Formats: sequence, C-alpha cells, structure tokens
Amino acid sequence: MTDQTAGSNRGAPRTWWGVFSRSKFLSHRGVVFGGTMLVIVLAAALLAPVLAPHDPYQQALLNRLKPPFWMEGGSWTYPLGTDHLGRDYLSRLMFGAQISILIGLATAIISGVLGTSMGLAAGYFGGRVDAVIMFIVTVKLSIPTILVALAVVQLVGGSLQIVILVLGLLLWHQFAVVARAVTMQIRDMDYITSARMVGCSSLRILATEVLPNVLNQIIVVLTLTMASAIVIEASLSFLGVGVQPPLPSWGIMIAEGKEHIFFRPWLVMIPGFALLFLVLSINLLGDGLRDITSPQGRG
Amino acid sequence: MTSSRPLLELRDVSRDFYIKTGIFSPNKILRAVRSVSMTIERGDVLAIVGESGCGKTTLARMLMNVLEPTSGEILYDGRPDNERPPEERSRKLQAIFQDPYSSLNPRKTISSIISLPLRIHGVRDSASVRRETLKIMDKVGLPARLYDNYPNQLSGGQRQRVAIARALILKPEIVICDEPTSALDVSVQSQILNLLMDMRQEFNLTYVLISHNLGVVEHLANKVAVMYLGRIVEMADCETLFADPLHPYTQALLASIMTPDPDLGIPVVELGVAFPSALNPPDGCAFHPRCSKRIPICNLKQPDIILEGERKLECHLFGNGQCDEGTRSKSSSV
Amino acid sequence: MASSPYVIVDELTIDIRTANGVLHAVSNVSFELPQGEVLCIVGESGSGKSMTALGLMGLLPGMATRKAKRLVVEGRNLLAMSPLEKSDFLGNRMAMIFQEPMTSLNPCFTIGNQMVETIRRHRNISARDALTQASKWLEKVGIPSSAGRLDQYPHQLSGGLRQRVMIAMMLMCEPKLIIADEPTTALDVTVQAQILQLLSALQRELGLTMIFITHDLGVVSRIADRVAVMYAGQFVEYGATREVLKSAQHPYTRGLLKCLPVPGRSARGAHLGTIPGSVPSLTGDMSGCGFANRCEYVAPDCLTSTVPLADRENEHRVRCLFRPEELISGRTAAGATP
Repeated sequence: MTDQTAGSNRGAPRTWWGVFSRSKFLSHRGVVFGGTMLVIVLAAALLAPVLAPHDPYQQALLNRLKPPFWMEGGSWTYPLGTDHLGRDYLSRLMFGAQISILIGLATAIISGVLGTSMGLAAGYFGGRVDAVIMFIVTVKLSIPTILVALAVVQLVGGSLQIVILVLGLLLWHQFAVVARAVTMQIRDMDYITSARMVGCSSLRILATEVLPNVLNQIIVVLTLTMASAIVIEASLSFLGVGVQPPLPSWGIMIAEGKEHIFFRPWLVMIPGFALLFLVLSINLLGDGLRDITSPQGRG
Repeated sequence: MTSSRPLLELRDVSRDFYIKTGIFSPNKILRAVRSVSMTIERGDVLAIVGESGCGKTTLARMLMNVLEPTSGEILYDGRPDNERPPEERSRKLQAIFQDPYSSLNPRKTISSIISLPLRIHGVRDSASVRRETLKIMDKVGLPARLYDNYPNQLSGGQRQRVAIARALILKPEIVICDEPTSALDVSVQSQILNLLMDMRQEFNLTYVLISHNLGVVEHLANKVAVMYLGRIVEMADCETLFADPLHPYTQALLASIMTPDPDLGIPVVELGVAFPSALNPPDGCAFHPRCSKRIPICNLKQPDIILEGERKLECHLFGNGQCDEGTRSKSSSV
Repeated sequence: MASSPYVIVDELTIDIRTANGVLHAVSNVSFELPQGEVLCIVGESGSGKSMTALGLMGLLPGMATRKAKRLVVEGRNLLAMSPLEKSDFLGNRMAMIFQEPMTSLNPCFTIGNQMVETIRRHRNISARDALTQASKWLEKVGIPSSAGRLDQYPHQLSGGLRQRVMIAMMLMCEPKLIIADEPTTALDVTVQAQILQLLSALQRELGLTMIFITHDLGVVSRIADRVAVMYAGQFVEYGATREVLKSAQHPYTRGLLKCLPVPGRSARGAHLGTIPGSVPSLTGDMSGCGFANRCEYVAPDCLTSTVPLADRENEHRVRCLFRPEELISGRTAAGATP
C-alpha cells in the first residue's frame, strides 16, 4: 500500500519538484509563523544602526525610567521607555538582538561542526571509535553546563568571544547523539553498501552519502542549540559573567531591570518577551524545516 | 578473458558473528556461514537459495567484498585480494539489492546515483559522465527525462532499473543480485527479470543470484546452491536439481513451490515445526531435527561432502556404506 | 450451505484524504460469500486489497472514510451497529490475521499471558481454564510441547511459530469469519506451505468462512474457492478459482499469469510476459477503465466510458468492454507507454 503515490509522479516536468517544494514551504504553518517572527527579529537586529531611534549607549539621566508609550507618562520619543540610566530601551533591545543572534548562530555552528563530526564517526565506524566517543559524550553529559560556563568565564573573564567559545564547546553533545543515532540507521542501508563496493573512501561516504541524510535532523538540533545558547547567554549575562556591560545584551537588560521589577515590570518583561519570541520562532522554524526537508515530506 | 581460471572461487569460507547476550554472560558465536567452497565460472548464473537466516545474505555480502570472511579465502580471477590493485574488484564486481527504496540515496538525483561509480573510478569530464549515464539509462529502459529526478519520484520498478544502471555503468564482469525482485510486484518483477537476462547477453555478465523465489531461480539460473544453516547442502546445475533433488531439504523446498494451478492442492511439506537457530546449531547434520528421512547417524556426525561431477551433496542418506537399499538405488541413478 | 450468503458486501468504497487530494483506495467493491467458502482477493501493492479487508473489519486509519450500501456478516448489518456491539461482534464472529505476526504480538508478555488475556476479554472464564484452553489451541495449530511454549516470549519463536500462535489466538474466540491479510508473505516457502496447509485444514474442520488477501497467484490457486482480482481499487475479475485462472478474461489477469516464471512451464531463460507501465494514480478523476494506460488492447471507448463489472457465463464477472476473443492488440496508440 505504500507504493500508491509512486506511480503518480511519473512524467512530472523537471521543474515540478522545485515548484512543489516551494509551495510546501509556504503551506507549512510553523515555517511561515516562525520564519516571519525570525525575519522581524533579524531585521530589527541587522537594521538597528539605521532604525534605532537613539544611541543605545547614550545616557540621559533626566529621562531615566520612562515607561513605554502605551502607559501613562510614556511618549513616542522613547517608544519602549528608558532604563535606569535613561538609555532608550527600544534601541538597546534592537542592538541586544544582534548579540543574541550572533551568539546563538556562532555557538550552534561551532558545536554543530564538532558534535556532528563526532556523531558521524561514532555511528559509521562503530566499535572502538563509537565506545570512545560515547564515553566522551557521557562525561560531557555529567558536566553541569551553566556551572562550568560560569566557572570558565569567571576565570578567563567575560567577553563575547569567550562566551561563544565556551558555549560552543559545551553544547555539542546533542549533535553527537542525534548524528550518531541517524548514522547508525543509515549505515546499513544498501546505498552505503553500494558506495563501499564501488570503492568510495569512508570520508567520501560520510560526506556525500550519510551527511545529507543526517542534515535534516541536524537542522532541528541546530535550532534547539541556538535557542538554548541564546538562553544560556542571557542567563550568564544576567549573572554578570557573560557579555559585559555596557553591551546591550538582553540578559544584562533583565538583570538591570530586576531591581525595579515590582514598580516598573516592563523593564524585565520587554527583554523577557523578546527572548521568548526569538527562541520560539527559531524552534518553530526548526521543526518546520525538518518536516519539509525530509525526503518523505510530511506525514 | 580467455583464462581458464574461475571468475570467483571460495575456499572454505566461514563467517562468524559475535552476539552480545548480556553484560556478564559470554558472547555467543553465530556461525552464519560455515566452510563454504565453490567456484563460479564466467557466464554462470549461480543461484543461492535457502530460508531466511540460512546465511545466504552473509555469503552475498562476503562476495560483495563488504564483509570479511572469518576464515577461508575468496579468490577473484584466481588471485586473492592482497595481490591485486584494490580498485580492480570494485570495478569488476557490482551488486543489485533487494529493496529499491534503501538502495538509492534519497538525497541524490538519479544521474548522480548512476554516475557515482564512473566518477569514483576517475572519469572527471562532466560531458562524458553525462553521455555515459544517459547511455546506460537508455539501455536499462529509463527515460532521459528522469535524469535530474529524485528516487522518491520513481516507482519501485524504475528504482530497480536505476540500481541496475548503477551496477552496469562500469561494465563489470560479475553482478551479485541479492533478491533483486522480491520487493517488486509480479508485473514489475517480470520486467526486471527480462532486463537482467538482456543485460547478461549484452555485457557478457556472470550473475550470483540470491533468491528465495524458486520460480525466479529456475527461470534464470544454470547452477543452484541450496543453503541450510550456513552450509551448502546441495549444489547442482539447475535442470538436474529441479528434476531430481536428492537432499531431503531440497526436496521439501521444491515441493513447496506453488504454481498457479487450481488442479493441485496445497503441497504437503514433510518438515518439522521446530526451527533450529544458527546460534545453537544441532549436532551432526544441521537439518536432522526437521528431516523426515533421518537415520541414526544423522545427529551424531556432520555428513561428508559427496562430489559427483558437477553435483555436490551433504547428506548421510547418500554416504558410503550408511545408506539403505532404497536410497542407494536412488543415489546410483545420479 | 445457508440460503443467504454469509458475507454480503455491496458497493464498498473507501476514500483516503491525503496531502495530494482524495485517494480512491477502494471503489464500489461488491461480493457475496457463502458460509464455509474461501475468497481470495489478489492484487499488486496499491490495488486496495488490504484496504478492502480493513474496511470490512472497520479498522481503517483515521484519514479514511468508508461508504457502502450494505455490509452484512451472518445476517447482521455492520453499518448499523453501535461501537460496543461492533467490538463484541469483531472478536467473537470475525477475526483478522496480519502479515507480520511480530507486530501483532506484544513483545513484553509471554505467549500464554497474551492468549489468556485474549480469551478472557471475550469470555467469562477463570485464568486456569483459559490457560488450558490456550494450550489446547496451541496443540491444534501444530505446536507440540505447548506447555513450555506458553512461557516463551514472541521473540523466542521463529516466524512460522509466531504465525501459528497468531492463528491459535485468533481461533480461540471461535470466530466464524476470518480475514487473512497476506499471512504467509513474510514466511519462507516451506513454512508458507505448512501454514497454508494448517489454515486450510482448520477452515474445513471448523467450517470457517475466509477472506484471504494475497499477491501470490500460486497461493490463490491452491486455497481459494473464489477469486477476486483487484486493480486500482476495483474488482476487475471475479469468479470461481478454476474459471478465473484457467480461462482468465481480463487483460490484466491474463497479463499477470504470463508474468510469472513457473518451473516446468515457462521456458527457461526466455522472456517473460510483462505489463508495461505502472499503476495509475488513484487521486482525482477516475473516469474510464483503470487499466487502460497499461492495456495492450486499449480502445478509444476504454478511456471515456465507465466500465461495469459485467456478468459472463459461469458466474464469471469481468470489468472489460470486450470479450477475450474481441481483444485486438494495438487498437490505438494511446496508453502505449514504455
């Protein structure tokens, strides 16, 4: 019963696949929603130098702790109000998005490359290679990520580069586990056997036969890791060991706002919601991409 | 090409697998293939038949050079592997697999799947890769418009044609066909069988055909090896074997063929229900617990190999001195 | 035996909603089956034969909708039953066996455990009696030393044994109608013959009515009283086994029979017959004969008119506009695909 649709695809024009995949792209609710949200955040981040109404570092103590425009006492000069130093909150939020996205992406890529290669090797070669790599993963899993990040950043000193590097070295395990599991399924497929028979090297098989089939799972992990890197960065910055002030990280904004949480809750809620918005959009997009890029399509 | 050496020769080939049964209990040994010897001549279509779990797939994978024998050696063109440039065997020996869904990488286009062997073996010029690919696609009956398609846009039969094209593009000498049609519908199966026969003519191929479909075997093969629990229990040329099977297992196998003939009833198969596992093979002849003709010696001693010309047999019923009158008269008629 | 047929299926239609539109998995399938007879539904993958079985059992997946004029088993209308009545009826009067027994047995429980559960779900007896029943039935399906087997887990049994256990479990509730969906396809040939032998013996002994789904014409010829050949969701040929196999009239059935390599009959090494092309898409408009795009005798009428399942002599029904002697090869060039 599984062959029912196979025949129907015969004789499709060569561009059919392209058209179909594009329409599938746009008809997936998660992708549309997540994508739109992400595009908004991305645009805000990238265009911050142009769009931001104020300099995010410029203090104006006279105008400190202004509420957003929809509240009493708010004005359109500072659409989201100002912080305790009188800096424009919207501008800081937009520049903060740059930091979050940069950290998320860079971390995900570093840990993705690291973890995926380990997972591919473990899954494909099995045996001793697998045992060693899985041991490293187990060790890694027993390390409390936030504590280690705290300790290292405390030791070396917080900066953007250090945070990226530390998180990149701490968040690869999911890539390794997922890549390994998928590779182990693929390893026994006949197309791998066939490639081996033809005389392909292991490296070539991993790169051209296995990796493309692992990628759609990796994309999902990539988004998850990106989201958690953003959250961890915010936490580290909140705790004062991440990105250092005056850089406008969302974590720092929440930390700075927490003293006013009872009387001026928006100081915490605005960057908090921004964080939620960004992480949610990335996760939605990731799920959607997985559905779309799998060769079987949805369902 | 004129050499008299057999194309492929197996000498006492065995393959064991170690099965983990628990953390503290010792590993069990699964003896998937047990000292198999045979030769495959140029132009042969050798069929290996047997039940699932009899070791025929393991044997095929050793022939494909993707699994090392635990002991024994496989000679290709009279020479073992270490005396030959490594790419020679991968050029001359190709395979077609059972499941056309798992044998094609879903992420690659038809053309890149078919042309992979060509590109691996040093054809870099993209124009000639394209030309060769289209040529072989035409040979196996794939329309050129599928060149840039993906496997999931093809039907099962078309996919199997892609697999055949990939196997043939390097003009190999021998193709291992592992259940090439058993995942296909009857109407598609016959197309693929016809294609395999045509390609054999055209490229002077030798086939090793792994199959459990005896109808297909009878149609295609000229030699048949019957495997049971890792051993070849009977081997003969196809006509002889189908006309006069000697081993009780072969007899049962042939008796259970069901041709579409409403005049005949369901065949009666004289085999026990118990199915011994390869992890724990019975003593003596591995087949004796299911054999309806067993004699006392069967569970004591592994039968010797009886060779009569092209024919090979492992059964006590036909051994020297052990057989009774009835079976001797039959064995003498061979 | 009985005056009215045991099973009556009247215009059973099953549609499945898919991303690409509605798939007409089964279209207007009708048949009647007297008690104690075996009907084989034979067809290739995607022909709708399994869907017909599932539709009859009411076990369709969520995306599928079933329509029928009448579905009657043992004089009871399946369409009018409440869910409770239906689940009772399904266990006690109708049962189904599947292709892969491993997926229908729970790997976490012993055979005995599962058999006892099955009996006690439908019958109010003690666990001890149920166990006795279970071992009685295991012996009946040819599993000796059944007491030991009851304590084994499904993975400890070979495929043939598992299928025997499934048959025992199914028969324990003493159903009258059995629907078997490719029960021997996953088995080795020798085991297949044994299981068929067993099923057929039990069917005769217990007077069961059986609907047997398969793709193997060899199996059909040996066990069926009647055959329905299914193609693209429709019956294309229906009649007594001997009649259909010996004097097949539909081009598809005739083509199928020519495709098979038969030891001792088809010439070794010669080309086998083929049916060119592949199964049409079952989504969208389904006018004309479903087989037209692969039929070598296709005529202009085949593409436009609806082809009925026409009665021929000897209760033989064929969905073709032409009688076999009227079939002329290459009438039009249309549909001649490579």
